[in-house]
Amino acid sequence: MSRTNDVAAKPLFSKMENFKHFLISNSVPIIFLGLSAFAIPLSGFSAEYLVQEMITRLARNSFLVLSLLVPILAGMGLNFGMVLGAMAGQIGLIFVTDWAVVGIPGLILASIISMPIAAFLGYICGNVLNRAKGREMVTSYILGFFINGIYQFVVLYMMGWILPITSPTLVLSRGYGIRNAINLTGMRHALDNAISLSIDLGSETTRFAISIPVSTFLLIAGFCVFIVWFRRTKLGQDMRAIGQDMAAADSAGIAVERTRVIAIVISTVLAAFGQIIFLQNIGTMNTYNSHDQTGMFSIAALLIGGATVSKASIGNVFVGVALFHLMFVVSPMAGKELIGQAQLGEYFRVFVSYGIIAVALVLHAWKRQQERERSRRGLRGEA
Amino acid sequence: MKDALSKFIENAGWPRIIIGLFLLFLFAAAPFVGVRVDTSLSDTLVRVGMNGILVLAMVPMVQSGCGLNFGLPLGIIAGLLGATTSIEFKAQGLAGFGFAMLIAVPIAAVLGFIYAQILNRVKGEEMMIATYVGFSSVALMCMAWLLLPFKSPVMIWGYGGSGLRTTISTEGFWRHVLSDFASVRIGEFFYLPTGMFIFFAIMIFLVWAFFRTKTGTAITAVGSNPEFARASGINVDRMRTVSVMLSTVLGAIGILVYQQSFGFIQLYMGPLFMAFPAVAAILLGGASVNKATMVNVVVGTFLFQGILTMTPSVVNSLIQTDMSEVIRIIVSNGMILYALTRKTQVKR
Amino acid sequence: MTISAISKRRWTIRLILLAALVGVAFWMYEIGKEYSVLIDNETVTIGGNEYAAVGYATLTVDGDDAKPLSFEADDRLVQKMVARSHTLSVNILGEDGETVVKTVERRIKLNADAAAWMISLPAVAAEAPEIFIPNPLSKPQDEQSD
Repeated sequence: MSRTNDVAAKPLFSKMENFKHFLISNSVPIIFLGLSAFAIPLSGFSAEYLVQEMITRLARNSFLVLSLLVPILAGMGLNFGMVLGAMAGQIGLIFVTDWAVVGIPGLILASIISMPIAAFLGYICGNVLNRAKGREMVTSYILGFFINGIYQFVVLYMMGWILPITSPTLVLSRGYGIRNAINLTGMRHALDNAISLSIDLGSETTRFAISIPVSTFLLIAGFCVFIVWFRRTKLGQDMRAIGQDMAAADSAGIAVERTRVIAIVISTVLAAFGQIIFLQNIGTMNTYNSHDQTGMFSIAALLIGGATVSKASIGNVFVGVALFHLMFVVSPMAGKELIGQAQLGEYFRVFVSYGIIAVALVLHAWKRQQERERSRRGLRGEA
Repeated sequence: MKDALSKFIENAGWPRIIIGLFLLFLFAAAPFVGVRVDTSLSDTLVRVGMNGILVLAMVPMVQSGCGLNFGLPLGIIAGLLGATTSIEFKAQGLAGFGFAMLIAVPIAAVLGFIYAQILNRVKGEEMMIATYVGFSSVALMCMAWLLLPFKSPVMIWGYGGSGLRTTISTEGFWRHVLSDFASVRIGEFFYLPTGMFIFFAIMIFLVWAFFRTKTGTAITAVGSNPEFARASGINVDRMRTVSVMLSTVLGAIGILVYQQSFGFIQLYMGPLFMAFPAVAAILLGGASVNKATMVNVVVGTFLFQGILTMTPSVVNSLIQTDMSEVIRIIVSNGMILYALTRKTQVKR
Repeated sequence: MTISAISKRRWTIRLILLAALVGVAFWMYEIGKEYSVLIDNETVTIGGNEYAAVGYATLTVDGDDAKPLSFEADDRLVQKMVARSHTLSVNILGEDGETVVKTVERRIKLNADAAAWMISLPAVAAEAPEIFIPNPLSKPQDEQSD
């Protein structure tokens, strides 16, 4: 190689190598893009429908997925405990619906009410995770189920009795306990419609009218700005240090345990807000089910966007939400066209959701193990 | 006396004692709220027999350090394939049950082998990955149940549909084949499925004996101290693979026993969460994340199924509401949480 | 600064933020609470004066011309209103039900126990000093003011 003789510096890696590296590090979203490209024409959905669905779903889900970024920064992996925040948000919505506070004030009030609940639950979650270091993900996963049990206990037995809820549309006929489906008519689309944009690009032959909930996206953008700013604060830097090397951070004087708890608290509170945004878009709340899939769908989306258990960026969030929901919408019909059963497509998307999480977890743990074995072999003095 | 008591408490752990006392309370309170003790006892024992082997399936992987087998659905799927195949071939009675096992066990061994290859590359994160590998395979099988070429009319959707039904009855094939074997009936309300218990006891004995063999002790060594085991010349990965395969096979056998007692085969999303009660049960029995004994299995299954059986009848009669589902969620997940947050001796 | 002074300042800031949050919560409640107010068109007696039911009338709240409520005699309709201060606009119509005979505008302020009261349409039409009458469907509360 004649690099030393060149006056004009050659690029360090050839374009080909850079491209290969890009493919490998973004393999998951690229595979998904390919799958979607295959499935979209099969499904028979119009471009207008898909674009509108994607916009709606991006506005609906991005906040929830963004809340996962902080624990990953702090090295705590995928926060399956975000469902705790979702439950806190739902409790806030129950109270606000009972008090008949509507519109954006209702949403803000619900958020404010959910904050102490979410912070408390996040505090518990963070402390439990600190006692299960090295097993954070399973523990937060099980904790989600456990708190779900407690949530059900509170909402199904204590509300309307010990906790004052009066509205007959909320309370079951037996006098206590909340109904399974609650209409959020007062707050439906309150955030979405605050500032909304309707675009009509249609022509004579094709329809193309979409509406964009600008206000929701502004809120999401604000959250992104917050995350970028947060990473630069001392707290954010502390978390990043803990994420890279807990022992080193500890010896550097960072309060590791406390910072980890703070990371989870922040994530849980943000998940509560995210769930409120999610529900105001859907307009109805399934008291006992709405939060069930929240954790799994958000995590699957983040992983599909190319994030790993130890590294996630804002870009991963949006790419992931778009791709995940694209597949979500398209699979049933594509399955129907391909095999003749829509049910197959639905199972396919469940399989993909679970499978992508499994694959991401495996890849991450595999890499970690290889690094560990490499260093261990070095210590043992093997070749 | 006091020392012995405090030692017992320390060994047993507070959650176990609390739940044990709670169960005792439920049995004591039963007659006062109109619940027959003999029916309850009988129900509990039946459920212990039903679930016992699924709980037993947890032991090999815990002992080898692979953690709690949240991927039990893999073994269950093998068992389901065996069950459906045996019905497809109209096999009946004990022979039918044996045929189902004959199909299920090799499939479970193969699945377990593949599963072990994954787990061996992800040491340290086994439990989470096990969960999602289990979920993914259940979802994959959902698609398979729709497409596999089964023809038996009792299993296919009626009116010319294709694909298997969600629930298939084992009535007329091998329902209660083990349970009824040498069963005991005392009065109208007490039924003891002796055959199932005999089978359970045989399986426990086999597993116990296995862990006394050279391979078995090697597996235990790998679980308690992998570095020492490696230094002693044990092939850690191979032992882990054996334990995973054994766990999966036990899962397949376990679900077959469960189905012959329950009377139904549950396909599609049925197996999705079936690992969790088994995990909770063995933890309730005193096992930790890397150590489990036969006593843990029996005690844990009894306590767990006891709570599951007694709470609906007693608590609901007591306070006139059906709290059983919520209590079940809180107890089983609470147990798992407790085990996950205990400090373990072995660090990787 | 001493350490205790720093943490004291930190706590003061936290308390102020907390108070602000609570304040915002109450504010949101005020501007966001939706009241379902009954408007009654029966002949009533308030404070010694009798007001006759109006034959035909339409009522709009806060100038929302899109959805006026139409009243005939003895009607009782419900109108949802968000927050406390509103302007009622009543168009009293003639026998034909179309020509506007009289228009009355009135500002009202709901109290927290708005569910216990009804607005009497005849009273509003007659521009009476007191337009709230007890809601027979709920327990009586203290006097309203407007």
